[in-house]
Amino acid sequence: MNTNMTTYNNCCGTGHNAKSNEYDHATKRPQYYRAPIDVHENDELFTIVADMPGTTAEGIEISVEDNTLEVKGKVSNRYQDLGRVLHQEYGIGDFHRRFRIGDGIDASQINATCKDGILTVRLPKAASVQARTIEVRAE
Amino acid sequence: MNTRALFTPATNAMTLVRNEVERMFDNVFSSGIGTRTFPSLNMIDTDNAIFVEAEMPGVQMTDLEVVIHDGMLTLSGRRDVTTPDGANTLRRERGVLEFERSIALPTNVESEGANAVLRNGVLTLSLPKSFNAQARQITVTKD
Repeated sequence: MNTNMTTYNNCCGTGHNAKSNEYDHATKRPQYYRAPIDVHENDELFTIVADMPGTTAEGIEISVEDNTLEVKGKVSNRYQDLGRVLHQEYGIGDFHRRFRIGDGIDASQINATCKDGILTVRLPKAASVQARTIEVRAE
Repeated sequence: MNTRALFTPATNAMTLVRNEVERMFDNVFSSGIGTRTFPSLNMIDTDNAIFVEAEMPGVQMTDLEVVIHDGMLTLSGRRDVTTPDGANTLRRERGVLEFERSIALPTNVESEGANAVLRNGVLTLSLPKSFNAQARQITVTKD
């Protein structure tokens, strides 16, 4: 595994429905959910794909600070006080996840798209760490 | 604070047992690595309708089938979990390519008037209750 990117496993609980303890002492909201992700790597970039149902591009905030990439997705409280809850397998709350990224990533070129509740973040590698083939010319 | 306490608990013991059994089987048969039930469901009871919401990020309307039959709601479909060309996967937490889930509806519903919207990876179903299932006030008249 490349050391250029590490996932914080303990950042926001242990699973999708686990809530972050650091917020539990505060008010009921905000509650954060840990979005499940896939991480892919090829020669040019890392790609993070995150399941964040209920979010839109406008509600997603991505920041990079001190080698930490932070992803937040806002989810509106869709059915507060709509009626009596008969069955609940997930709570309504914002998504939050952090990743440690190394110097091998060109932070200025990070870009993201959001579609059908899936966030895709692309982290291009810095030119200095990309594998290159040196062409040998005949003299 | 207990996180479960934030939620309204399941209505009765049978529901709990059914959920556990459902999850057990989902875990065994789910095609993905993730062991979470897919899609996750919430159900809300209002005066005139049952609302069912399901989280299904990445599922397209054309790949989704919603069936109401015999008091059961069944959601089935698939989603693509693709890997970019020439990429190695370093981590995989998302899963499930194909899914099918059934849940018992608490009352009779008019499937004709049902409404389904799939937006931002969330399916919202509005299922109007049958007239007989709606709460009514009966006026008592004098003889």
